[in-house]
Amino acid sequence: MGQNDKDTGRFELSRRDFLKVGAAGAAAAGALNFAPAPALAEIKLKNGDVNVLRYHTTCPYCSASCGQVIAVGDVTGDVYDVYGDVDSPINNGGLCAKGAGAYQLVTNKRRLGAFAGTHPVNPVFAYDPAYDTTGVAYKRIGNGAWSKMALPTAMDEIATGLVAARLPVTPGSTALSNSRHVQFFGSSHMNNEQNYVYRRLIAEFGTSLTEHQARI
Amino acid sequence: MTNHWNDIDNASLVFAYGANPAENHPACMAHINAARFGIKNARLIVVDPRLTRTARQCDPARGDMFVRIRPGTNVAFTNGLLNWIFNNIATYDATAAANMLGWHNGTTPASLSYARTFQDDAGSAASAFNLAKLASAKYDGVAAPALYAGYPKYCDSRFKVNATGDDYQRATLTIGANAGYLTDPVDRFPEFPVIAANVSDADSVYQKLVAHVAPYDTATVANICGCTEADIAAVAKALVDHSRFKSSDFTLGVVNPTDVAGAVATPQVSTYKATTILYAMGQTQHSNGSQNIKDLAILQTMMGNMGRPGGGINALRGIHNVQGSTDIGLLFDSIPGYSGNPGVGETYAHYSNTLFGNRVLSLNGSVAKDYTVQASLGLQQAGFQNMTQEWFGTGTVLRSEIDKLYDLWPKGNGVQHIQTFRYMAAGTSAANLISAAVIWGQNPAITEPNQSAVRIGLKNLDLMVVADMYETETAAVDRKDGAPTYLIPVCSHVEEAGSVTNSGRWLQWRERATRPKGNSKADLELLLRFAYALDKAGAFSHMTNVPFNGLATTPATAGVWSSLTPAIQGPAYKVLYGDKFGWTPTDTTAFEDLSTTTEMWPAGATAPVNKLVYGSEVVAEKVHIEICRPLNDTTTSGGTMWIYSGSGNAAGYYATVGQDVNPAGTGSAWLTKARAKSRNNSLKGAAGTLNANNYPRWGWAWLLNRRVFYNNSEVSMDQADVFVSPGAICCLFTESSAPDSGLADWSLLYRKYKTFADIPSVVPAGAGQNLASPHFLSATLSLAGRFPGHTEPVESPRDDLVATWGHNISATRNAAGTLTGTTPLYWTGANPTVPGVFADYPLVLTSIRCVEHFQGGPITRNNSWNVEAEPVPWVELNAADARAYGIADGDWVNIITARGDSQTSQEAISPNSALPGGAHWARGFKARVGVGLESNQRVGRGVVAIPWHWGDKGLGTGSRANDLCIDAWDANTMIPEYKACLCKIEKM
Repeated sequence: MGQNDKDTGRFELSRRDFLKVGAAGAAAAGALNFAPAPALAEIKLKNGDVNVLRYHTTCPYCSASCGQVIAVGDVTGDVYDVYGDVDSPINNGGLCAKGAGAYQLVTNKRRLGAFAGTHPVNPVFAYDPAYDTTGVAYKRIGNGAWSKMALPTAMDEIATGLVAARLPVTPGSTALSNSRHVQFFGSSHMNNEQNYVYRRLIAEFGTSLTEHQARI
Repeated sequence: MTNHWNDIDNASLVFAYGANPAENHPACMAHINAARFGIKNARLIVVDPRLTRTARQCDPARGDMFVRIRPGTNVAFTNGLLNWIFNNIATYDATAAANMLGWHNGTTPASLSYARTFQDDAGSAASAFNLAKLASAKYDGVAAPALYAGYPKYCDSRFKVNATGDDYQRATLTIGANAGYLTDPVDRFPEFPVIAANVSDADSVYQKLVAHVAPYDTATVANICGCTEADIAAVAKALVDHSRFKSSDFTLGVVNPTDVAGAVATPQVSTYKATTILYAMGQTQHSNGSQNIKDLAILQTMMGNMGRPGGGINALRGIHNVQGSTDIGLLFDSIPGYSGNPGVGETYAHYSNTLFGNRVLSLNGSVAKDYTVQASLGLQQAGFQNMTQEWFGTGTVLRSEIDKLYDLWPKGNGVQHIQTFRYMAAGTSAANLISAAVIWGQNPAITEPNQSAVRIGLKNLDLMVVADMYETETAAVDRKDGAPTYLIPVCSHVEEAGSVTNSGRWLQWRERATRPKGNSKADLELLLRFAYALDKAGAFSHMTNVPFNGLATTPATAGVWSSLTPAIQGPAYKVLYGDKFGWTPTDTTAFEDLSTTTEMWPAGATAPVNKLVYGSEVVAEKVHIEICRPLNDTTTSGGTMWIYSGSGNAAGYYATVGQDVNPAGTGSAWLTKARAKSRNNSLKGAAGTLNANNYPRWGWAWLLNRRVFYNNSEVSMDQADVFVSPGAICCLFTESSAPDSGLADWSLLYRKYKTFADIPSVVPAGAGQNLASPHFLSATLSLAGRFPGHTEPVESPRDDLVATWGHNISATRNAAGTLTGTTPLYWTGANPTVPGVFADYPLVLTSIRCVEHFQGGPITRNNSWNVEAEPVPWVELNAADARAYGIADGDWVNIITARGDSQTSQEAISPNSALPGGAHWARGFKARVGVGLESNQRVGRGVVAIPWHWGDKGLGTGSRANDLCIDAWDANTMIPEYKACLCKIEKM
């Protein structure tokens, strides 16, 4: 499903496919089984891709962690499809209305900095090859407009600002070891290893001001 | 979850109580239906304020039931079930009644390998409570025949409660030959709980529970919950029918799962009975959410459903890695592995004593452990010590110098999320004004309650950083003049590797399918860049005390690291990140070009193979190994997160002790670096065993790959049993208000139970046990809530019930556990929350979800498919209320609560073309109303439901539910009361 979506910007075909899957999902609720999605349509390779590579992931929505397979072009690295993993004992290949649409999450032109061309929200968020080497960040002052800047520059500005806001911390057993000025939020949307590095960094920064979606 | 998704297939009764899996966890609904329409022929009972999609699947012809209750009345309903069972089980089903008593009176089997083991007062040896020793048990020197037959095997129902009701009765227990208990510490256990001969003893926990729930007769509960008395009896009968006590495998003797030996009934037969309780936000999002959950644990423990395939209490968690992020402790009061923050003024030894493990401090004359010797430490203690080494130094730091690294831990808690926004707006003093925030993959400008307060806080920040895939409502929030906001583009889930932990505690691996698109980057690269920049800016100088650039080649000259033997040489980034995870932003190799050959499990393969991988796949594995390697790995410091230890090495927790449970996969390939990558689904778990549907080689489950928790004396005790300590049993009566005493101190796998922070606001007459009080053993001011008692939501429509039962409030205690004060469970400082009253707001508001959108919506509301399927929010209203207000199906309505006006921008107060009659978004929740037919009412009379996914950014926009929801919270979890507040409705 969905292979026309990325190039044309239209989603008639893929939308019908999607709604079919959605109907299967709804039927799953009604007909009381969680049937796998219809067999994957043959993928039409483009842009020099020779083979389709298939990788495994889990769905980015609820905590069932349904298995997903990602079909990727071997040359371009473009994602052709994201569909249910029939090997996963959790979902046996089925996906719900959200999970079945995960392909659009990956290929969504509204993503920040991900795709070239006209960005549907704000031109500043379009992919810019000038930042291929450095990476990009966006910044606004007050309620001003977003502007682009090199990622290391932004990281340095952020770090300097955070260290200044934090005020010095003093190792030991007193409250001076724990800054009360910089709050960290997030995230159940990150993998364990990413969360672990984040939590480590927060402690090393000298604060226990951290919260995330677990309380929501 | 104590169990897991596939195990739901083993249930004979699915009790969806405050959960709507058909909408919010469709894969779960598939497993429910597998149980319903397979050999189990399971029944489905749904208890919920709404006729949800899950409730609609109930088929009365199959014995399914839907019971509608008022939002916020779960404890009353659960206690009503318990009361009905206690009063009626003997006449309803004599066999079940006899089995229930027999089970609670049961003892551990005679075999030494099943005996309970405790640390005696000598402190150096564990004493197994086998029959030979217990035959001479004495309490304070007096023979204790209650223990001659063995130690209680299942739960603390046979323990005695003391006269004031704040603890077990306690005595010095001596066993075996050491009758000279006053002098000989061997086999001596001071402050041990006194155990009754059977649960008929008036002092037993069992009888205290019976007395506690006595006021919850069906008439009282029906009045509180708005259901019928027959509903309560019918659900209670089903719970009896589908308990351990009616199962074909019931035996008063030991049950050996085929894990160990012997033949047992498989759960995949029609006569095997077990009830699974599935719960979600309908239980947790209340100001008494913790008490709701505790009551479910009590119900399942009483009915013998814990530790059984098809049983357990199972939280249906909301986000794909909310289990993992919670395990890792991204919370104001937590660090990885469910340890708390070290406290202000707390020594290493004292802190370590609060974790699972053997004592490191001398207590009651016992011998202290040396906390610098790893072998002396319990599991959680060892993990903490490893973590301290890795986070603030390296594995080469001598353990004798662990105190120096411990100094680098921030001491004390942060601020819970609701209050953080008040601290951003003003702080409670200049010393704790929060002036900057890093918001990584979260959207608080939608998801936090009482948005008016949230947005004042975010606006006032001097610096705000948002990392996300889209420009979220948070990134675009109204900001004060001159204050910068940074927005960093992050890649999607298919572009980055790592493990995720699902609701059933299974870790599964996400492969990096392609490099991050365009300018977006993997979280791991961004976090390493962030750490590098922070080091450059001097953020870690309290470790090195030397500026970043000056430390590149020279040893530190001051600070903690310079005092170590040998001193650690900086810079901090190199020591803490670069050397450990293999990448520095200044490296010539770009992050995504890192490569290595490692074990992966390709599609269709039956075993792992070596494969060339790139970027985050390389780094994530290195991080995973730091977290998950064996706790006593001697080649470097051991695994840092004790509950995940074992995924990273075949040997499990301790390299010398095999803890590879669930051996159904014996002989199969099993990864050594990251078992989370495991994809062998051929080992479903043999049909004739209790492993059925456990899939022991698909991913890896904490703890120890144990797929079902709480095995209750049915398998040989191992480390997974820590979750049933103290004494490896389930506890109904869990709290000790005296923090430094208690049974837990004497368990081999001891843990101090936290005293719950909440108590009911209504205090019964007289102190101590007051049988006339509705809050017997739950509300006297000197006591914690032993057993859950009903309390009304902060905003309640029933003033009469508030007068009788009260609200939940927060209790503060001194070090001795004595109550020193109480506070309401909402903000009372500057810009206070003022609860609305029934006279002004006569309807109950509850927030809901739909399958097409996800949580705060920043992902799904940017996807055209999702937006087309569910474009705008709506309001659900009962037909009777609609008639009363003159509202028809499809009308535009506005829902208003006592919360302030969150939308003050010009856009918000200007007429909006999406709304009728020149209305604007500000003030209230504006949407079309769905009323439905008389016979098909989504919500009960007096209740309004609104979805919470919408906001003002993205492809699909609409009113924000959290402009309305009250920012009151549960005192223990700090989860807001999203599910119950008061509102009024106006026709637009």
